[in-house]
Amino acid sequence: MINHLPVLIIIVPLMGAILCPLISYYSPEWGKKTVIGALFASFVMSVMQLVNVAERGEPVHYWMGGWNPPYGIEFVIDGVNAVMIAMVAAIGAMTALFSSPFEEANPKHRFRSAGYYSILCFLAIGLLGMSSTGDAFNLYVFMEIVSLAGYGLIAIGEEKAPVAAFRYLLTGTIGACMYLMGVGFLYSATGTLNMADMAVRLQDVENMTVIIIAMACLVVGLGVKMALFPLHGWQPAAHSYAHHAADPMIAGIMIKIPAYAMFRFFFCIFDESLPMMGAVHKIVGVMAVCGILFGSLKALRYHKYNKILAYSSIGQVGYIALGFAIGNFYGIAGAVLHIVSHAFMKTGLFYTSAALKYKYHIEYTDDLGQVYRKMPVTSLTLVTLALSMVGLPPFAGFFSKWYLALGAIQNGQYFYVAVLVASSLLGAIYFFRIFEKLFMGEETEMEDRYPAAEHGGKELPLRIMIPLLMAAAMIIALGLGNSLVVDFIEKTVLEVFLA
Amino acid sequence: MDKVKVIGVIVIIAGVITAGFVMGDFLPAIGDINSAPNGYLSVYYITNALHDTEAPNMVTAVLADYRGFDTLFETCVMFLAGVTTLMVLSSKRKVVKGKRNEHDLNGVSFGGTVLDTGFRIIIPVIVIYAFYVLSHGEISLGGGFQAGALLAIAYMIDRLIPSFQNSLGNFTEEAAAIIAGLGVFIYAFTGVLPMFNGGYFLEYDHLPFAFMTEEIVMLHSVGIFMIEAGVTVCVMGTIINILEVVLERTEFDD
Repeated sequence: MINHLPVLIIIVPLMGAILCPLISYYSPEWGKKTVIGALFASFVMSVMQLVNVAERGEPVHYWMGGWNPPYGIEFVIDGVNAVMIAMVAAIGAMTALFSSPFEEANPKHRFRSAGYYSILCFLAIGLLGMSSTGDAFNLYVFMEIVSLAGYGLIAIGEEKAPVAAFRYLLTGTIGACMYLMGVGFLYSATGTLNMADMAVRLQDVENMTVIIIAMACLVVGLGVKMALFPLHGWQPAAHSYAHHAADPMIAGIMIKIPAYAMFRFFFCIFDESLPMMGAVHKIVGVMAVCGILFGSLKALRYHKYNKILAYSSIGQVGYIALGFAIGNFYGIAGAVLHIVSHAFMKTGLFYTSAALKYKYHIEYTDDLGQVYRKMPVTSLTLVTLALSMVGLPPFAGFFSKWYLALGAIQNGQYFYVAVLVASSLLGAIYFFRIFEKLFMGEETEMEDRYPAAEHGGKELPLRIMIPLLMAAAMIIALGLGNSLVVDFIEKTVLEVFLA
Repeated sequence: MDKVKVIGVIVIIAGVITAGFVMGDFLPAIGDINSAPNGYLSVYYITNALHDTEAPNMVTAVLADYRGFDTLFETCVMFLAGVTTLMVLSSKRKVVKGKRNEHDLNGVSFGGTVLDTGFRIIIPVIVIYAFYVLSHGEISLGGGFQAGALLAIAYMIDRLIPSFQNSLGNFTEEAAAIIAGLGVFIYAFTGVLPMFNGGYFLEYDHLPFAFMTEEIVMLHSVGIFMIEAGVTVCVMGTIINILEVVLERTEFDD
């Protein structure tokens, strides 16, 4: 079974997602449990795969249909994407568990929870596939699944959500088309779709125009998908109005995996020696710096909790792109660490946002006054994750920024270090404003929709509290164990990315 | 201000198109045997497809066998589109079901008496043709997607013409989504079966039907047929699903 792990991680949730409507027809409760169970199984298998990759010390290859690589599709699991897969599977399983109290609120529409869980599971499948695959076109197919699931989960959210979803649909389709065109141009130059094979055959290509056009298409296409400034237009609305329970996953990992794909393309497929590579790094660096400053400044303007988090995401995606622009070992390690740690931070912060909405329907930070007395667990998570976002040790956010700064100093790019520091200070301002409201603001009268007295003194259902605490625990664990993660990815980064 | 924007966009698009034409030679000419795509994978597929997969139609060989994993997820995209449409559109239900008056419907026609009668004759033919396209897909043109669309059209005609009174039965949109899900399940299950038999995912050589065929390669035909059937069911379910969701929002009796 161990050699089938790469595909089982995707097929088990797929079975859950397609059988969920059928099972829900007889019992919505069991349909829900099927998806949660499938995603947990996928998580367990992804951890087994992580251990397996660590023990083998070399990438695991899985050939779909037994066809050898350039002719068929293969999955390649190395040190970096094993970490990504475990992260996606963990957040997928946690979010599925987290959603279950939210979906109980609509008992009238029998298909409602079935459809929701099916789409959520497909979002996880698409992201898992995008991180596992070693085939450029297969990545597009999974990207399509991620986008469709994303449109659906955004559209079934709040009142303004359908418009946000439509906007994302238009922009996201352009992004996916640009990616597909980029892959098409590369295919015209190399005649292959397998990433490893493409990297080999690119060395003999003489026609450089087509490669440069392909690079431009890929930067724009993946940039739209990862909401990189100035291609971020769809992101704030989509992240603030999406379905409350699915929002953590949409905000947390839907924009990270395209960033990972960008790393795959520009470090594993394109060679350093290609013309324009330096220019691509500079352009992405400029986009990243603008994004970091723009996101952080814009977040200061809002009082709506979700909007603050969404704009802060634009800044944080900038950090990942900054690691790309730095491009040495510390830069890439910092970016990978930031993908993982920011995924848990943003997911956790959106969990707190959804929890506040679940209990008190709080949308604006002005209503947060003294909430910490009534919701201690949520507030504890919020404070932990926000401090990590600002970048205080010993939380994970500090260490990813630390590696990025190390990389920038090693390259002599002190401007990037200054941007990192400035953005951390801006982050401190907007998160400390939230703390001020939370701890010192005046208490507002709100209707409590989950009174603790009726539920054995618990502030929220356990299915909400466990993912909340898990996210906070993960951030502390990643912070304390950051050297383990960096050691784990070191070999792959040095051999595959920087070879 | 708006005019300036519109003109700007037009200028940019025109510029990109002109630049594309001027630099047009960066893409290989159509049919150029020396171009990279035509000299590498295509050569392998053309020489080996029949021998490897027993499918005379090379497109089917690539689509359903060499890159069958992509097609599985393209099928999932169909299913997902149906479920998403259902979730987004049926959240605000407007029309109460069962308000139609049976008595009125007999007089209402869809395309006039002649066309309605014509449709009555054409439905069984469409269904037969759908099965032909499904089973023939491996040999010549056709396949699961088209067969599913044909089956759905047969249902659609029956559903939309009031005087037929839904003689093929009336799916609810939930049932259609479940059927689409089962279609994907057939596909995925075909992929999982070889794994119990010592093969990779979707490796038709290891399907457990070896007793039925003389040569191992023939199992590829079985596998391709099974996944095409899955695609058919999924596409049919999805189209019916979307049709029912749309019909749900309005009372169609005109």
